[in-house]
Amino acid sequence: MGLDYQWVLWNKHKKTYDKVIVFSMLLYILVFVGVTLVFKPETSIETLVIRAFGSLAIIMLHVILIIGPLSRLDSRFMPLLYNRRHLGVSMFIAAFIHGGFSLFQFHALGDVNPVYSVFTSNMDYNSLTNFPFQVLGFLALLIFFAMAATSHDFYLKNLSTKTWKRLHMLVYLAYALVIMHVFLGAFQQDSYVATALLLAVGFLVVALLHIVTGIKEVRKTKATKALLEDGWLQVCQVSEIEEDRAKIFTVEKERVAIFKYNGKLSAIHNVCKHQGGPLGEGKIIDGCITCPWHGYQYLPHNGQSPPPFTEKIAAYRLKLVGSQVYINPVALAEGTEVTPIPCNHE
Amino acid sequence: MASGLLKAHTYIWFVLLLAVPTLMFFSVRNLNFNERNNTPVEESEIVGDIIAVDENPQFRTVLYDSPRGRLLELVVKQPLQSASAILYPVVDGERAEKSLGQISTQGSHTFLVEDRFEQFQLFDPIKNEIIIEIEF
Repeated sequence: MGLDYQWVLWNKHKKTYDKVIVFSMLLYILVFVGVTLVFKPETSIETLVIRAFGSLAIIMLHVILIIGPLSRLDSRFMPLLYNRRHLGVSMFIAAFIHGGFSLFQFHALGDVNPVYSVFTSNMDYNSLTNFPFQVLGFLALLIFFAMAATSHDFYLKNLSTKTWKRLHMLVYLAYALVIMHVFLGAFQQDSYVATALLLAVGFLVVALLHIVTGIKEVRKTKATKALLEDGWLQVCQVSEIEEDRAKIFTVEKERVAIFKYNGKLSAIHNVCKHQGGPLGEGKIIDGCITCPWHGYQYLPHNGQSPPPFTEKIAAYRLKLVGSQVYINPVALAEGTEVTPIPCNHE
Repeated sequence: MASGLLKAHTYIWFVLLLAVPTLMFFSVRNLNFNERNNTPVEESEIVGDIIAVDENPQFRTVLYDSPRGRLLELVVKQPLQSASAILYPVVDGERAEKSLGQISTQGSHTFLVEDRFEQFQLFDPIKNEIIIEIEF
C-alpha cells in the first residue's frame, strides 16, 4: 500500500525475490548455452540467443501461470503471488530479447519494414503445418508489452480495476498464442518429440491446475448456499470460523468474508479494491483485514482502509442466534460502520 | 476474487483446454519427428573421390564417394539472406520428408547421403520458399 506512486515499492522480501529471479534467469541462460555448445556446436550465436531467451520466457510464463492456482490450493505459495508482478516484467524482458533478435535476424535484411515482413514474408495462412508462426509470437509479445507497461499501480488506479483486470486477463490469449507459436514454428525446423511432449505436459499442468482450482471454489460456494429466514441467510456455526481468519460465502451473487477476531464477528465484501484479491483468504494483522495478494488493509467493522489510506469496501450486517451465524445479504454502502457482533459464548 | 471473475477464469481455461490440444494435434500430425536422414560429418572424415561438383557465387556443393559412403559437402560462401535454411534430398521431384540438416552459418556443412540421392534442395521454412536447388 502506498499514498503516492514510486517506481518500485521495495522491501527486504522483494529485493530477495528479485535477486532470485535474476540469478535463476542468468543460470538458465548459461546452462542452455553450455548444453547447446556441447551437443550442437554448429549453432550460431544469433540462433543461440533466440532459443535461449525464447525457452526461458516460456518456462517463466508457465511458472507465472501456476502461481495463482497453487496459492489458492496451498497458502505457502502466497509469497510468490505477492511478488508475481516482477516475475511477469522479467518474463517480458526475456520474451522481448527473443522477439527483438528474431525480428532483426529474420526480417531486418529485406527491403521492407521488418514488422511488415513478419506478416507478409510467409503468406501460407491456410496451412497449419506451414503457418507463419512468427505472427503469433509477435502478437503475444504485444500483449506482454501492454501488460508489462501497465503493471504499475498508477495504471491500475487510472484505468480502473475492472479495465486493468480485463487487460491483464489477455495473458491467457497470449499463452495460447505462445503455445501455437512454438508448435507451428520451432517444430517446422527441428521436430523433436521431447520438446513437443514437454510443452504439451506444461500446458496440461497449467490448464488442469486452473480448472481444478475453479471447480473447487465453485463447489465451496455451492456448499455454503444457506437457508433464507426473514431476509437473513443462515451461513455457518461460529466454531467453523478460525480466530483471525474468515469463511467465505456467496450471497446475492457476491462473495462475502465473515471474519472472527477478538471475540467478535464482522462481514465485508471479499474483493480487495487493489487487484480484486480474495480478502477472506487473508488474515487479521494488527487489527486489520490484510489482503493475501499485496497486503492492502481494511478495518473489519467498516471496510475502510486505515488512515491515511482511502480505499473502502462494502460491509454487511450479521446476527447470531445461539451459535448460528446469519447474514443480511444486502450490501451496505462502502465504508459504512457496522457494530461487530460478540461471539464469546461459543 | 469476485464471483464473475472466478467464473470467467474457469470458462477461459475450459475453452483453452479444448482448443489448444486440438490445434496442437492438427499442427503436429504432419510433422516428421524421426531422426534426420543423416548426421553431419566431421571435416576430417571428408576423404574420397569427387563424383560431381556444382558451384555458383554463393554455394559450392561437392558429392564424394568416401569409405563411409556417399558424402555431400555444401560450402556456404556468402552469408545466407534466409535466416533459417534446411537441406533436403529431392526424390522424384518432391522434397523428401526427412531433412539432412539445418544450415545456419557460413562455411562447410557435410552430410552422409544415400547413393540414390542426386538432387537436393535448400529450403527456408519461415518464408516457405526454396533458396536453391542442387542437381548433379
